Amino acid sequence: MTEQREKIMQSVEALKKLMPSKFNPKTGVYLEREMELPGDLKILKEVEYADIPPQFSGSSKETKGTMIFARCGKEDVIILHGRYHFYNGIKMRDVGHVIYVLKYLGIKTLISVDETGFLNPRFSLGGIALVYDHINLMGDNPLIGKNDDELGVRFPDMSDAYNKDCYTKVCDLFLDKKLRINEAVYVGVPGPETETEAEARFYTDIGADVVGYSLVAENIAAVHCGIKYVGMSILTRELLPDKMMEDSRSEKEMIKIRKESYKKANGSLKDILKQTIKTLS
Amino acid sequence: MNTELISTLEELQNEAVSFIRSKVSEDYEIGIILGTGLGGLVKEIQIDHTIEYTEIPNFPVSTVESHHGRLIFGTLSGKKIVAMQGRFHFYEGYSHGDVTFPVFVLHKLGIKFLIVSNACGALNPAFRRTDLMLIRSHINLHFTTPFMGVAYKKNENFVDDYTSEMIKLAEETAIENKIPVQKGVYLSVQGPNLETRTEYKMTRKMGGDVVGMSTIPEILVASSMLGLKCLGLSIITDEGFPGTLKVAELKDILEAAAIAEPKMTLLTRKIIEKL
Repeated sequence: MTEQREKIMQSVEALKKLMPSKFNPKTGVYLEREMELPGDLKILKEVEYADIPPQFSGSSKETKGTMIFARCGKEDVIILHGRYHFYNGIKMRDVGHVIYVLKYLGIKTLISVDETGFLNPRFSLGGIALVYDHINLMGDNPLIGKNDDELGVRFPDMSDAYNKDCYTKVCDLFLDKKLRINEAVYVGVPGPETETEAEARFYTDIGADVVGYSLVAENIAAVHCGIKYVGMSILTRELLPDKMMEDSRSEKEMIKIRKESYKKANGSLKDILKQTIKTLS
Repeated sequence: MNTELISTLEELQNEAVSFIRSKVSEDYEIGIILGTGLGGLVKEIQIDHTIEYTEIPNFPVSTVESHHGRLIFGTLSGKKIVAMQGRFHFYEGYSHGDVTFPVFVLHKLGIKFLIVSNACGALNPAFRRTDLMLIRSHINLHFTTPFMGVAYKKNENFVDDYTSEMIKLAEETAIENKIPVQKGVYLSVQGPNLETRTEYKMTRKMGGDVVGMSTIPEILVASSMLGLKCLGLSIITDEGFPGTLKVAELKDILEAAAIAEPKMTLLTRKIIEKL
């Protein structure tokens, strides 16, 4: 067994011991710490990330999170509440580790939500982007290194990285709820510094609608191990180059805007997540 | 990098060289890195010696099972050549330093020319699966280079990464032998996953004609640092056209490489004849 899989199994064994009995999750949800949990949720058990072996170097201080075993309506779900961020110094392999652990816990579909800045002028603060494709500009990749063929193939195909079937179903759901659909290409960069006006222009030019620091790496690992991946982003920063040249905002204002955007997005996210879990399970 | 580390690197290379020299005394003037689709060339070599990578001190070891790992010394088209059967990729977890270590060793063994081959995906809509391409230039999207932390000094003989006289010679050879070839820009990404639609769009827009995951580190070292005359040959094994993108299966890629292999082998043989 590869060293990579040994680590994965170490997490899996520990978690299986903590799982409630007759718990059979097929759907996973990966959220930022500040995000609302799905509605209609019955929490069965919570495990702090810090208590799940093995520990990643660089993760203990910056990464706070809880793995939640819960029932959403009739569905068993695993919720990762809090995210392992590459920019906190965690290795790409460890970003991928989390996804492989979910795979071995039985997850077939992962709904992942993070926060991004938007480049597309039709989007607005507090909206939710539905990701249908990405550009990897992170300068790294969770698959670099020896490939474990048990996990997936050496050269994964990325032509359907954001499962089209799931994507369509989520779009329909947004239509039902009369929510604006922001179809987005996500450009992944390491972060955590915010983008310059020139960078925003460049990302727009290469075809991106939103820019963020998380989904791309997770998606590659999920595609590698055959988990269907649904990507959503809440929009907390406006990155419209011409506008950025006109008005610069203080950090204080930015924090306020972020807070308001979160508040707005959280309002619809709770229900959307509940419905998405129900639809995709 | 401080002088101590440089001398260590130099020592590691020398150790590998003196091991090889203990088995091979003659000089070989042409180095070839055999990528996917040029494996058949081995059958055409009159072999003098082979040395497994695992035997050579400090040599990295290939993790891709379909790749043999050995140096082949022999004669091809009447020329003394040394071929690397099996190469090292960045996506396997090797640094650019590891990937290019053998190039330094071959240089110390006395090669003057380096031919590097690879398999890649087409971005230019005029190119098709199983086409051959001469590399005119490249775009490095590896986010690193083999010169990071190395006391890099450009070789005084350095003119361009892909030596123009080599490209000219290759083009003439192709015409003489009626082998159709394309010419274009090779864009290298880290891999190992293939590109998304939007990434194909982006890399095309950036000026890439084909996209692959290798070649650039070896060429950078060989041309600008060591002053070798370099030629890059690509086999197009899949098509990365955003509008008509299909799932790329490894077997289809290998099949395309197999179809193109005879013309690639012939072209390489004929080019070597003229060097």
